[in-house]
Amino acid sequence: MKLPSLASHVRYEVSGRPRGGLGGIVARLERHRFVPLGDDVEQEEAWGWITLEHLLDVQFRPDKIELGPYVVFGLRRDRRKAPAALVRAHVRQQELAHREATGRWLAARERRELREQVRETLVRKVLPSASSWPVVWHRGAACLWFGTASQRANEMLVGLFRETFELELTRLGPGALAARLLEGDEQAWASLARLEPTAFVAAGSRPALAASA
Amino acid sequence: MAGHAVEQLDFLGREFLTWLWFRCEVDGGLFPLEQGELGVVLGDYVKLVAPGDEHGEHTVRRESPHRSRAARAALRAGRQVAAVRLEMALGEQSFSATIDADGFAVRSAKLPPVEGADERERSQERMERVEELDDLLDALFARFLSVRLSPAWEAEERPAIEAWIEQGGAAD
Repeated sequence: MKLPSLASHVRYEVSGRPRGGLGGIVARLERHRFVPLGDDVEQEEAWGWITLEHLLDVQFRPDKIELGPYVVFGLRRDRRKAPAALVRAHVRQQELAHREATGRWLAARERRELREQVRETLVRKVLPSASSWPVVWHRGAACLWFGTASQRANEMLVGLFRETFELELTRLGPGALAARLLEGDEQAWASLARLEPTAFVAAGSRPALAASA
Repeated sequence: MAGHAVEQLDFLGREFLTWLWFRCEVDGGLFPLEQGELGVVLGDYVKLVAPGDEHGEHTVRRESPHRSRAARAALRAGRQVAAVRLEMALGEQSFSATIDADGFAVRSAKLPPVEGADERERSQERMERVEELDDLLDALFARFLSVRLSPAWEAEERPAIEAWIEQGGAAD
């Protein structure tokens, strides 16, 4: 097993410890493993857990997910979408054909239906694009690293993690990290709660800014 | 402190990176930490934004961008540091990363090399390097917090930062 790069990452605090130890984690990952997109053309995305062996591996075992003090696995997303430019081109082609055959343009409703038909036809021909990101969980430190700063992927991580482990992830942004670092220091904690933002330059004394560099 | 309450303190991220820039210039970027003396230099990327105007961002990509006139002018116009690339040295070890102020995302980190005998060992070492980087950033942030939460912030540090911004530093 090779841990992919965490050159870009976001850190989270985990709200508690998982029940059932490593075996319990394996069982929960199995239940929420990645399942590829099926024939339903309405479904544009699929999300789920994978091992870090490769994109297709969803056979979880303790030795595949345990790395020293860390539990490691991946979040995979498949996305299937008809290219917008191609949808527009096919719609236009059929609109022109309809105009030539009937002498009239499509009504707005007919055009919407045509667009949906075209999209469905094209989606069936499109291969999904697959992405995955590493998840590293240090249970002892109640800390988790996720290998992307993508907002959508992070939102999905938090939701799927909650669903899988019944634990909450709190992103260690500035406020949460300050609270974590100052935990136990009641005086500092109270001061933190009263803080207001600092403006280093008073609004009235700001010079106008020239064009960006 | 509830989750929504701590998020209201996320303004500390921009203040922290602005303070770090200031401290790097006035102290030469040396920070005595529990891990040892950390040397910090601002790298080749800085992004500044105006509070309440996220579209008015100002990005400078060049060697020592913090010394550019454009970056200093953005600071004087009231913009704060939203992201910055940091180059750090701790003893023989070098770390570099771009830090986002708002969510503390780390991007494009470069970490000290690993030497494990097999892939499993190297993977674990890589993760330990990531933790070391985050520990250094936490230690810098904790230093900022100790000043930010003390009476010295209003009495000394904040006026000094305001004066530094007003003077424009050693812009090229």
